[in-house]
Amino acid sequence: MQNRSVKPIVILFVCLVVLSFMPFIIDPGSYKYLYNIFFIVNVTVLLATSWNILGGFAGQISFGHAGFVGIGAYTVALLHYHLQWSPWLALPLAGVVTLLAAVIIGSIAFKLRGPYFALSTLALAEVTKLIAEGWRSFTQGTQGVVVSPGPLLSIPSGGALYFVVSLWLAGFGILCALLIKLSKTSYFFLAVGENEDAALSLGINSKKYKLIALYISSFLAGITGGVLSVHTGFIDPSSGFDMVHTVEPIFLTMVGGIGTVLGPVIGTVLLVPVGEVFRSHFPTAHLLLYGIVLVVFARFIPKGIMGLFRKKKI
Amino acid sequence: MITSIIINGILIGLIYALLAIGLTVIFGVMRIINMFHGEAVMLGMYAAFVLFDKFGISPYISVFLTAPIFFVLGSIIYKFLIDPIPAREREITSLIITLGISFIFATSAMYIWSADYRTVTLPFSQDVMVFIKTRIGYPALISSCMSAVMIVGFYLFMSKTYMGRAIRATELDKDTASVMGVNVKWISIATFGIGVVLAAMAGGILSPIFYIYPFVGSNFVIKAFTIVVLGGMGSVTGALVGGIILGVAEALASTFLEYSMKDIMAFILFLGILLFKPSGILGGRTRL
Amino acid sequence: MFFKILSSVLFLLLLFSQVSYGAGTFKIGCPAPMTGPGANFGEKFKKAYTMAADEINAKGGVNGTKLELVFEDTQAKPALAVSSAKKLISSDNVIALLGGWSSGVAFAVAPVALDNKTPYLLEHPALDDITRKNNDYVFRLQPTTGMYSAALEDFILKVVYPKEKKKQLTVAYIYVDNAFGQGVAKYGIIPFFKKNKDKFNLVVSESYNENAMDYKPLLLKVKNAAPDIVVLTSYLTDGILLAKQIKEVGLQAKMFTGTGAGHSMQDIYEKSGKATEKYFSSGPWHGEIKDANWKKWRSAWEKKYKYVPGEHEVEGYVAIQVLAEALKGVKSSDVVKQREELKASLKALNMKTIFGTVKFDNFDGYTNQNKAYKMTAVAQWINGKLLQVWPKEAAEREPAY
Repeated sequence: MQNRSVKPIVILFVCLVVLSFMPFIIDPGSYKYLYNIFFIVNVTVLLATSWNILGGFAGQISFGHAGFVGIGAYTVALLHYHLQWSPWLALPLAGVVTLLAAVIIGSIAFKLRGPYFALSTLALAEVTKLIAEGWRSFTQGTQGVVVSPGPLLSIPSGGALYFVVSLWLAGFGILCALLIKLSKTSYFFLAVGENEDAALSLGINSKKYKLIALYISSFLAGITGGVLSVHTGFIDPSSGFDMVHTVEPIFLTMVGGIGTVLGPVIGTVLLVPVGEVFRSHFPTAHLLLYGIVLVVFARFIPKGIMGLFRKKKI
Repeated sequence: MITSIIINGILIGLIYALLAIGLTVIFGVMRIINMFHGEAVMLGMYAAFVLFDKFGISPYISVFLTAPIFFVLGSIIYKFLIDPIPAREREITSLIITLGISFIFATSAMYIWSADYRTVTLPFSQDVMVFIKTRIGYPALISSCMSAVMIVGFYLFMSKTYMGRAIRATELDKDTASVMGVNVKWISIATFGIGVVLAAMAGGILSPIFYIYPFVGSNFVIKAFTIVVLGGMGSVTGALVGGIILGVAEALASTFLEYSMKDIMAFILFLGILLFKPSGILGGRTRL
Repeated sequence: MFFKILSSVLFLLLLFSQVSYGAGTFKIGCPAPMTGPGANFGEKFKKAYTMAADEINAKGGVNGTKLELVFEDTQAKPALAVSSAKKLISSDNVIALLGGWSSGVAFAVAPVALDNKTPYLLEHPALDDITRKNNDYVFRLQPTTGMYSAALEDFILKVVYPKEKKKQLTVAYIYVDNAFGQGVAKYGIIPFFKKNKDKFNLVVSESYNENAMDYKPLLLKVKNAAPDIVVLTSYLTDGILLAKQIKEVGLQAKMFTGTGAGHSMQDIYEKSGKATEKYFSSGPWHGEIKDANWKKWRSAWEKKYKYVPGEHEVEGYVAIQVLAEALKGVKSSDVVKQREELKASLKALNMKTIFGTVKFDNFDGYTNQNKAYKMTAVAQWINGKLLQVWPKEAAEREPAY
């Protein structure tokens, strides 16, 4: 790896370390709501980055991220419920189990191109939701599962812990995206995403790169689900497999700048806090706002905020 | 009991098929997945509701009266929001634009008509006829028959009229169609309009046997997608066959297994088709 | 740039989080479904809360302090409700949480109330488990799902069974697959019929997905089993479709009965094209209907909102009154202490309301649960009106059976 590639990683690392000190400056005890928003921002950065690796880098639109998130969330919840695992320890497994699901869906969906993949992932999300609803003896069905997180390495769970954990998970997601973007792989991704026929004719194994993107993306989305169920302390099919988990990352990535590393981060950091505040003041209007912003960006500003700022895309 | 179950499965399958046709046509010609398809169905239901509620016009008639409005709506959306996008990016960007439009429609409907559930109760809503020992309610019967008629009508339109042939030519090969004197751009705009009209008409026809509320659209979308994949993307006959297969399969699954197995059935079909016959039951996309 | 944006957002948020601090009102947090499929229920409760709070405020509030309702949209999604509840508690500094409409939401919000030591008063979420978790901060004034069928069981045993003169009646039970439906099935209907095996035979017992379009296969199966009694646990939309399709497939039985929720709503009669005529519905009653205050309230409601209120409206209205009564015992100004005082005050409460007597007890594994067995009734749809027919003391007319 050359010098040019090390710099962004160092910056990312420094940012994470600096931000980790936030709980010492702003007391999580008195600003619970603020920390709740921080947490949501971090987790959404992770999810949007995950979607972007698949949808932005490899050009494979996923409508199934709700499914990945749900699988991750249930992995944590069920390991806790049936085997009394600490939800924190189960977190990495949330990624692994989701990745296994992605292996199955990838083997089916990538036999075909284009919208078939989008539709297959949509089906995956629905099927997994139906399983979570129907398999009552295992998943508690529609009643849901309560998760009580407990301490992590004797740090009590609370605003500060959730903040730091989610921050570093988001950092991990961004790191994955950076590593892809800075390596030679990113050119293959780009080629596959832009024009698969041309990529194939150049001898690029397009399926291989699509699968890599899918695996990384699903792993990160699974982790997102896991950490969400730890934080909420409760998971049921309607919240675990909520379409929001599919729609929001698409929305935020589009606004921030699809196919760039910073795009999903900027989209999330800008819009999620506004959205949270907006939602509590105008309960019915936030969907309308979402819709308008989506249309306006996709139609008139397709490169998103990142496209307005700079030519060199990271 | 088994005949009743199959007959009912076919009837609901016809409605499923109509729900899917608007989606499959737009996809077939333009390779665009219309994510606001469900909301177009919802708007069609509200249009039928308003005309019935205010003027007493039966939904089976009003679907034809409102069709031009939905055609214009669909055409405008395509002309100004989707068509200007460079062809290379259209497939992906249109997904996101139409998704955004679905939110706008659903929330607008909520502001206009509130979140209350509405129904269209026809004067003969409780009347029943008996056919091979199967009791069928008149609204269900008429809705299914109208679906069948419209599907056949649309098939004839696509196979017999100049417009229909031009649409199919565009579907097969844009460049050649263009060389042959087909105005591909206008055909695309019109096709999108037709797709939206079909969705709205499906909504109107469904309104007497279902309920209406602003977020009802999401109930239909997954079914419609399943049928489109089942029947082969872009195929009208495929949608018809796919709809009926889904209707009957669901009916059988919910009778002989548990009722809750019904929805899983749709996805088993969906994934099975993707796995073993991805071009759909009837095969290639050149099929009408 | 990342930092610039972050810091400006941070600053904005700090501003926002300060805005709603320490105003001179009692804030009551209401997580309710304002959008999504549950939106029209959220609307009902909003009307009921607002009416009660306006009345109390018009009289000068509680000990001179006015009530303020803070609504948060939950879309009836438990996870969203959890973050709404956290926000209401820590940012809006509400003194108590209220309602939530659905059992799923309340089941998820209850642990949040406990963690944050904030009283949470339930007036409609009925799942038994919510008040069976030793959660000292959760109070429920209305019957649980297990109690929902108390009046129905009584009615079936005392009226239906003797009248049929059959050794064993066959029963079909269909219920919606969600926390509410599962609760009624698990704690109410199924144990009842199993317990009385000599008298009843449960021939079909199946759940369905609440968004289903076509119930005919299920109903044909029920028809094939030719039950004497059909019991349905449904919300509104599924209830409407079921009623219509029951007529369509020609399913006939001696008795059709719902268990509250959808079957107790005016909409089900009109929007099913009167298909629910003669249906029974068992659930929370509509209040002390022979009480003068109840009659006064009902006519005020009809005047204000132009429709006949049912169980949801009376529950929501009474919930605010109960909170207001309990708030009289709150003396301090710090919200953390206020919550403790409110909790103590709720525990000591014994109040006569238009919904019945409200007193929170610990019994049979329940905590802070009103013994609301009596607050259930069997009502029946007769000529477009849902009138209570059982028990005798709450009856508005004779059952048409």
